[in-house]
Amino acid sequence: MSAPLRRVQVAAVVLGAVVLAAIIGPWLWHVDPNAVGPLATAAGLPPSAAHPLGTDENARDVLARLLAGARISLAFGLLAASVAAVVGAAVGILAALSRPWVDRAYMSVVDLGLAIPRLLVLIIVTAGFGRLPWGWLAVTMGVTGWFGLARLVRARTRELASGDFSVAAFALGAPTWRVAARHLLPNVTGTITAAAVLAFANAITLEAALSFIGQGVAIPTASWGSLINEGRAQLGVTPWLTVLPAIAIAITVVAAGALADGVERGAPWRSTGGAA
Amino acid sequence: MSDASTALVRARDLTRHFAVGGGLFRKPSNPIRAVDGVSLDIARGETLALVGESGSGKTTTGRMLLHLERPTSGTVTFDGTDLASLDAKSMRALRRRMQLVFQDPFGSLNPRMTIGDTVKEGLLIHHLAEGAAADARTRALLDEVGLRPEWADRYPHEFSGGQRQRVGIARALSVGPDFIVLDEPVSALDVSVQAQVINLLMELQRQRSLTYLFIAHDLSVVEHMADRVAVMYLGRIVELATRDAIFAEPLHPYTQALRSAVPVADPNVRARRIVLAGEPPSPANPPSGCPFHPRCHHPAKDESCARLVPPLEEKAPGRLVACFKQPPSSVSWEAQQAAGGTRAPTLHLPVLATDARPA
Repeated sequence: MSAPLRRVQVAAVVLGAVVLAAIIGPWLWHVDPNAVGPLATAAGLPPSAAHPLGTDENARDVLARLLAGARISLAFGLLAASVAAVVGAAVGILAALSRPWVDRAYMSVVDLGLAIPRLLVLIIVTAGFGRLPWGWLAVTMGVTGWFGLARLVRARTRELASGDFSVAAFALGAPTWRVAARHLLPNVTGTITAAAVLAFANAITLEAALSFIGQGVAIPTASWGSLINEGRAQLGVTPWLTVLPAIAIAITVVAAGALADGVERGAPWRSTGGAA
Repeated sequence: MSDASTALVRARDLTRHFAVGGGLFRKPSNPIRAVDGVSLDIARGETLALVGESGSGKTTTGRMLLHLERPTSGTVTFDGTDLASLDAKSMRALRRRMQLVFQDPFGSLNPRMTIGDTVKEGLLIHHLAEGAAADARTRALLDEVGLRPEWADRYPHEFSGGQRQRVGIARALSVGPDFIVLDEPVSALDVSVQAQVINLLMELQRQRSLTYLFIAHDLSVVEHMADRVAVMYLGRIVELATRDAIFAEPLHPYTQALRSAVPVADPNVRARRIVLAGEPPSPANPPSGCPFHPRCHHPAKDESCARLVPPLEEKAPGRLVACFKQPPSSVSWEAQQAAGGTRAPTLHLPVLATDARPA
């Protein structure tokens, strides 16, 4: 009981700190993340009092860029994951409750979506529309990222829909929408949350991959992905440029996963505490 | 069978086949005949027990009676209404009058709903009560099944198996049904709790004039509850008679085996147990002829049992048995001989432990 609780507390504190840093960090550390310093003297500096995390090859302050990147990356991941979760959950639940041929039609779309490399779709979209504002890029990421989630939700929903408490609801005369809303959806939220955390992590890393080929968020906007990409060329000389945003991504993703898992377990309907 | 005018539920030739297999590289195999031609009547106010091993089709039969599963063929009539003739909306409205209690006290309650919300749901669906009135009805229902009304705000995990089963019963009662299918309602409970739940069900039946279909996998639980007993084997009813007849003088060899397995609470009585050989056959690949013949101990069993399917026929007033080796039979001796029969039908009544058989 206490070990999982401790894990959740740690995860909540860590994630809270990351979010807090993203929100108020740029106000506290009042340095313009895009301000280019004198290249000759201030580029690629190691950590110092003036620049706690050093500077990059354009002499920009890394701490300021990391904090600004946190805003973009967290918002990006959250938006992409939300879109994927809503679309995927809706399709998954609908498919599970539909007639077999409708279900098959939905799942054909899902299989097609899973079969086409997502990065390729994103490249085509960004190439076609030019550099998208980060919000639209995140929505696109969500729209192309719900297929696996839909499959998971469909499988879980089918299992639950043939389970006793769903049959009991049908036996009471509940229409399908009521069974879906009151009995199925609340019991698949765990699955949706777990898959959404994965989608969140995927979106952040995919954005990094897009940045790598120059199709991520527009320069000079900082995101954790673009920071990794910018630092990549100088990995041997100024490793902190790559390592710091990579650590930030790792910490955020792990904490989000632990929190989602813990919240699911610790909920009142799941608590393992003895019956009162 | 009961008088047609008093039958609340009437099933005729119900079958339910499940398609299995079939894919890119496999031909679909024979469908599983989970239920294969079941006919029964349940009179108002009676308890009909449906007894059989797992896989005998008793749960599927129960669900078809409620139209929670569509029969492959056959009809179910509820209080004079053919369920197949109803549209979805009328069927949902009729569900008020027929309910279901499950075997598994854990899977049958939504873990994310308080037990109060679970019990209240039927009231809301059928607009029987709303708001504070619905809450009051919910508390009264919890009280009626022996749970404390103030527990309404708790989640299922806070309760024991027996208490959860009571919640399931309260949910079924909430809509004021006439007919309840009890699908092994005590099989998952401790023996001490079983008796409490059985007593509750009998009390509710008396107070609310309920009609029960009580599904069980052995005869011991049925003894206290049932008015009549139908024994199922491999998707068919093999014997249907009053409880007293079933317990005193079971006629079908399978019923005899089930009967001999009922424990007797008298140390002086030496129970002669009929132990069946082997497992029940798969409904996907049932034996030819009488489905019970591979495990049958009837002394007159012969080749014809593997060829002919015995009809469910009246052997004595009100006693339906599907065994043509138990006279009288409509399958003539000539017909049996033609099918390879070597032994003529003989009445086979193993002396049972309780010795309650009329002399």
